[in-house]
Amino acid sequence: MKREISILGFSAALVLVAALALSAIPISYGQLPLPAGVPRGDVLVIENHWGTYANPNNWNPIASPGVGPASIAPGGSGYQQLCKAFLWYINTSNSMLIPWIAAEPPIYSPDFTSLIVKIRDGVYWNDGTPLTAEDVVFTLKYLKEAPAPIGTNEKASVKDARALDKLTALIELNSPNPRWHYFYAVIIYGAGGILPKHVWEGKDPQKFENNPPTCAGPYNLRAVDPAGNWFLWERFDNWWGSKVFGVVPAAKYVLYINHGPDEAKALAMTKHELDALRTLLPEQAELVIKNNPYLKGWRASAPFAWPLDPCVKGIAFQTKTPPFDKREVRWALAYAIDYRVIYRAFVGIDKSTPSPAALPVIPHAADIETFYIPLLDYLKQYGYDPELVLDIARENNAWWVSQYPVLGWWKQDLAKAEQLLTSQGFKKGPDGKWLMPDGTPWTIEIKTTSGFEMESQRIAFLVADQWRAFGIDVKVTPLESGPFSTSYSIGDFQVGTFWPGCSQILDLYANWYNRWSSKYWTQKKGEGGHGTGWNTADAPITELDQIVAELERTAPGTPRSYELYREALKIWVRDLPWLGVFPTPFYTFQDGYAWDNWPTHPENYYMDPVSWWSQHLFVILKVKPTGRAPTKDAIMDPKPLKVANTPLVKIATAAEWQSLTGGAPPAAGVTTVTVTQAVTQRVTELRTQVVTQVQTQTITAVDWGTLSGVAAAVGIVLLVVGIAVGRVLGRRRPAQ
Amino acid sequence: MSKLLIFIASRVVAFILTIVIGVTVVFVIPRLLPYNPVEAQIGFIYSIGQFYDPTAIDMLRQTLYELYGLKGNPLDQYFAVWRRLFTIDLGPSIMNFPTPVATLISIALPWTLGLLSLSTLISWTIGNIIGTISGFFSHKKFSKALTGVAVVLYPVPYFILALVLMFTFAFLIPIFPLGGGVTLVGMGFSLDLVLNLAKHAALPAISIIIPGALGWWFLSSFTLTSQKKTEDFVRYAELKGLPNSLVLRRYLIRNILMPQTTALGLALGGIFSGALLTEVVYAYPGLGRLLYAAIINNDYNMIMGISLLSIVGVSLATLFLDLLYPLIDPTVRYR
Repeated sequence: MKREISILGFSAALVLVAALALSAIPISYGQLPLPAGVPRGDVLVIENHWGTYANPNNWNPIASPGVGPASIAPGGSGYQQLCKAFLWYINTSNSMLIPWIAAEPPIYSPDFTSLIVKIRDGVYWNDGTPLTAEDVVFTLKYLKEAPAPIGTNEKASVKDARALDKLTALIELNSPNPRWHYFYAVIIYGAGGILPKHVWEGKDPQKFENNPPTCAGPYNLRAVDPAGNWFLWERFDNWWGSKVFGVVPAAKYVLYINHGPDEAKALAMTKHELDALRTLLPEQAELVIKNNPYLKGWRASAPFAWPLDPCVKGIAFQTKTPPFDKREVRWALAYAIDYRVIYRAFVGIDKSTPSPAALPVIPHAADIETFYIPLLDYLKQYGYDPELVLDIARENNAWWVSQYPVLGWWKQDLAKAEQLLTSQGFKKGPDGKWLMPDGTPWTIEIKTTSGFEMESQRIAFLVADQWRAFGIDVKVTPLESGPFSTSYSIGDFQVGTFWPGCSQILDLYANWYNRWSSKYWTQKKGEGGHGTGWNTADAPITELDQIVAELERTAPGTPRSYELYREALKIWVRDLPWLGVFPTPFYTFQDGYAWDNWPTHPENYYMDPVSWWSQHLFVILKVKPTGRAPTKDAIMDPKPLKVANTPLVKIATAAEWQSLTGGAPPAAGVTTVTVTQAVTQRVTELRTQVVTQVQTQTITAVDWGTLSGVAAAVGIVLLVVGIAVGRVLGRRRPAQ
Repeated sequence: MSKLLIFIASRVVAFILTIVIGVTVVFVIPRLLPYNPVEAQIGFIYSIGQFYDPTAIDMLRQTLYELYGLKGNPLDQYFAVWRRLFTIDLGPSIMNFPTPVATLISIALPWTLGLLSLSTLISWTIGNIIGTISGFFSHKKFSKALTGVAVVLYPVPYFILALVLMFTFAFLIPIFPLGGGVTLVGMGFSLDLVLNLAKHAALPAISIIIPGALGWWFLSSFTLTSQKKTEDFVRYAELKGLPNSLVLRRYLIRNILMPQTTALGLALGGIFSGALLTEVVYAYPGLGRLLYAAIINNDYNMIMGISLLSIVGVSLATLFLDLLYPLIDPTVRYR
């Protein structure tokens, strides 16, 4: 017996010693991967929301079609925020252009078939090589010549590109397009960057790993986690922007790190080991709100959630699938919904509320003024009630109530819903349930998300409840992202919580493009890209097509373009191909413990607080150390960055164009454009990335109260074990 | 031919058959799922509202079918898979195109191997030692206490235990990191690196060892021992007056080791599919997470690559165990 006890004791001692030895390893600040001796205050820690990168050494931003969830390009690694060379950014908070590597907005020829890009004087790559018009020309030609699917846009849209001088590039297009530069302007994600010619020339565009990347931003890649969870960037003190704008970012290092599931992120933010994150599920958000007194979000104090994500979430109908092919049925289903129930369900514990969006337009202030208010009377004809949730919003101090008390939704009207359905041959059975025109029971299947975008799933269940109450059988089918996206793409659904309504900027065309004109919507049901199947080539909506055709000949930002958008929106309301409810709120927390001067609405709203967008660069350039965390190389009082916000484009007159191009090649000088030319040849940007796919793990929905309970229970059990073992060891009875 | 040779040949044939059937099943199942990696990617593009065009989308779709090896009828694809397997080319990963599957597996594999082989061996050893001792002295208080612990621990859902450990030892008493594989800037083999790796692996390993050692391995060896010790040959040894330690070592442990070794072999073979929950909770890199992402994104090539490792791993383990039985099982002879 003694022998056995000694084995037991030895094992226990071994485990204890190992644990003690491991715990004795010195901890730098917390557990962050930093070079030796770097204090916490020198580092800005941002969430790598993408998770573990399967191959953290591949920095080739063009090889992948760019739509896979694991390519290196997305915002999780910091590459697009800190390194990539962008000509322009679009400030999503005001829809203006920020010329960056370009000195000014693009200058289009009067017929929009060519444009001139002027590079800022004094820009160079971080290896010292000047960044010139040659790099722009090289990028376009390199992509044009690369094997497909790389550069599909350049192949189809760019006829030729050449440098007029060191800082001026002339790009000729295959067909007129006053928005061509959107391919190279950061709207939020995945815009094309300029490639350094001296690095990429002669390289295989698919195999070149570009490791480490040659940057044109204020930071260089310092270290990468071989396990793919974190990326450490170090300030480049000789950055061109410091000379041109006179600014140096305060943080010596920027660390992008994946701490793991939501629970770990919440704990990290509570411990001040994470300064900015994407979003959290409500339970974890509550943990951070309660335990981090320095917390900021979209606003400096509660309610914190950012209510202006660029996609309106809600319910989409497959408009080629009966009975959803009839607008009366779609409207009946809209009138059957009590929007107040859905809205109330999304009021957060910190009183965060969504911004109602009846139109497929994110209600930024400018959008409310440009679209919602001018269309108010029209919307009211369809039962729009601007005061529908005003009381709930006011109770919770929503940002829009005082200035724009017009955000509402379609008022529930069961009588009207019944009348619309009856007019289409539906009738109610003896059990009060709706029967289809052919007399069979009506069952709707709602396909929704599972394991990601859980807010959409919540919307699905809330809507299902209300349709059931109205007398329709509803089945909700949650799907993982793969089957969910496939069914959307090929139109294999009746109703789904898809989100065809995205709008990042006031120039809505940037998002509408081929979803609003039948000439671009050629896929039949069952073919990838069919989606909701509204305004397709086999059943075109002529008046909408005419509007889009005119938009393609109208420069962005002009009053006429906004008139056209309003007309198109009226047709959308009439048809209601999908039912947006609101952009779902994101808890884009920013920790004010170590860093300050975060963008907060409305007093310091210089940029949206979205750490995974390229525009977060402007936040990184503006934050300041608070002094609470120890610093060594952080700049305590950085000079504020001042960059111009300009109109989206410049259109040259014929004479101006002549002088800009030195007389050659003469522009056509004719502003009439035949639309058929624009139709067949335009191919656009494919280097997009998923904007709003939340990869939340469902297994993480754990209540911390329960957890503490379980922890206590385990503790008690261990205590009991300890006492039992102690007693046995203490008695040392001889073996029997 | 001797019986031994026939035995070995039959086992090798079974091994090959297992792999053929496994590969076929892994080929078929993802293709029966209601989604398609190319269309799913197109769907992604459509759901984000960025600049694109049908011409470009069609071009992209055609190219992707070709690049991902999804052109042609299923039979062609099936033979193509075998051709590739014979040349040890697993093809490009679809979700990380164009990085080869083999590269991604080689990045993830060492983490999984390191964590799971060690933690499996440790929990097997600890679990069996205390399980056997407790089973033999089942009337003792320590045995009852341990059994109580095991019964409490065994049904606790893994992720709750993992989160409790994280909350306790990375937050309340922050001696371990919240997650990750390594946090050392400036690599190069050093003691610091080893310690840093150990420190990151500690919590994930403990989270595997506790339910393993005190749960399954303890309970199974406890039950086996309690059962075996009532058998006649043990009673005979006791009546002969042999000391307890001798009965335990010579009569019981060898008999208990046999099924436990089989289970260990299978557990070690199963390592190759990774430990998904551990990897997710502790942001630990490894094959489990890679496989999970591959399934979600229907990355056929990656699913095939990792499953193949797992199939070969388990089949090899089974083969070795079959061949090793004569050495550890006193009742098996091939003559």
